[in-house]
Amino acid sequence: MLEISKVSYSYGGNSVFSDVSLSVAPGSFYFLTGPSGSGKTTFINLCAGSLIPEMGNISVFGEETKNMTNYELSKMRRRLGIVHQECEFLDHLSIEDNIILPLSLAGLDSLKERANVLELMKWVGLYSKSKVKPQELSGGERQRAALARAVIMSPDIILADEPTGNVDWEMSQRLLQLLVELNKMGKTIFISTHDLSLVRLAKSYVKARTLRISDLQLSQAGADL
Amino acid sequence: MHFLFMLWKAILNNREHLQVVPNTGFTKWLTTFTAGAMSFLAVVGLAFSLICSDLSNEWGESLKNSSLRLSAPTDLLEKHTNMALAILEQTSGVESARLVGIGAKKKLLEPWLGVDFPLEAIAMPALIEIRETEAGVDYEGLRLRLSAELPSASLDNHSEWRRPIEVVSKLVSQLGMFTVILIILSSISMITMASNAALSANVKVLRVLRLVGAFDTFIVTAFVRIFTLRVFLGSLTGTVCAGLVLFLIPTFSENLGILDVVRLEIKDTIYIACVPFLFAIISIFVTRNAVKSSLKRLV
Repeated sequence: MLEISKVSYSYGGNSVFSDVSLSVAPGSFYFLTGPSGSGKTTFINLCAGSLIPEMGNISVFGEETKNMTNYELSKMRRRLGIVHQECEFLDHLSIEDNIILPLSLAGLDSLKERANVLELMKWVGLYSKSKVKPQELSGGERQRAALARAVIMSPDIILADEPTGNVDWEMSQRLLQLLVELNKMGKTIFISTHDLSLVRLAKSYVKARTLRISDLQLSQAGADL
Repeated sequence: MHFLFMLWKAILNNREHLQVVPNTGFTKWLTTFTAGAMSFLAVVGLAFSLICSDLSNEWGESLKNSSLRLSAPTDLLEKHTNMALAILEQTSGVESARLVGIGAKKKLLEPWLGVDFPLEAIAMPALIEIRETEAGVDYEGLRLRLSAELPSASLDNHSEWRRPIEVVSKLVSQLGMFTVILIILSSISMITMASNAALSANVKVLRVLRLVGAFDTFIVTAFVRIFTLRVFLGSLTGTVCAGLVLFLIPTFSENLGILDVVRLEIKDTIYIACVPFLFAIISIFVTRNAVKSSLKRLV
């Protein structure tokens, strides 16, 4: 589903990874940890096709991102759910319109789908805020709205970059619950986080694997987590 | 009208395109105002260039002929006129020679003497209009003959001062066209800058659209549509305002006679009406390139 093979990446000559490999099976749950600046966001961006590896290959759904055209990358992103720490929305649209945007772009914005969006908003606890503009939401609400937007197209893989970075512990637990529920529905979850307590909590719900980026390498994190 | 309707429909037809680009904020007014101001300047520049071109043609045409003026006592005037006509008939290079009637004289002097001046009441010199052949007249020879045989005749060779006027008016016209080209190039720069400023303010929109899987062609088309709509509306407003200003100019000069020619012809109006469409076309290419390069820079 997601194959990372001998990938290297650097910013202006400063290496971030060197010769990193990973194979992500469908339905698995991964945490990616590491100190700030270790390259967690870069890793997520590489998986999302926003960055192209300098060396090695990343295959998503069997296609190498390096060889994809912009059109193919956009098509691939429709099968990925991406959540960033800075949840960005179109500020002039309501939260409901923002969540339904991927469907509108895919030409699937029907009345039935609208009803499903409201169900989805109930699931993330934002039903009463459907007509509210993004800037009127709290950090936690924005994160949940971003998650709802990421899953609206029923993606096979969800890539979340520090999804709990801007929220309190209670909200972190709630977001984790949502991601665990998605994993139980068969979705592959890949979360980058520096919050180890979240990783520990997740392990009590689901069989999650933890990876750590440090010293340009990706390694399996120890059992002490 | 049908074409305008189709163009409008093409610009506005896709709800999603218009929905994803915010239609608020200072960038909206920046683009619209820039297009309006540059269109106003373009229309005024174009109008003056076209007027100069028309003036150049008109002056060239009206000064094509030379004239012979005869001053003599009233009882001798007819005799002298016939002698002059006979001399001109014998002169090589003269295609035709015609005595200018009182009506034509009145029209000729109207700018200086007014419409109701009783020209018949005063002794006026006779005026003969000379039309030359392509080969032209030997004016020196003709002047010598006239001074010998008809000293009361005074020859005005228009070609002597027609040429500088033609050159000057052509230069003014060319300068006008050069100004129009400069205005169009400045408009391209201004619209590019306005588009880039608007895109910088909307870089988040580009990121979000990329994130949710929008195709680049969709993003480009969305921005091109909304920016072109703004530019077209701004340009249309600027063109209409400039048109109104130009429309008012002949009202001020209608009693000046000689400046009556300073007005736009139908073909000139058509050129001016094309300005908003030209700006819309410029906007399509400029915005397309600006969005494409912004998308390339996007991570």
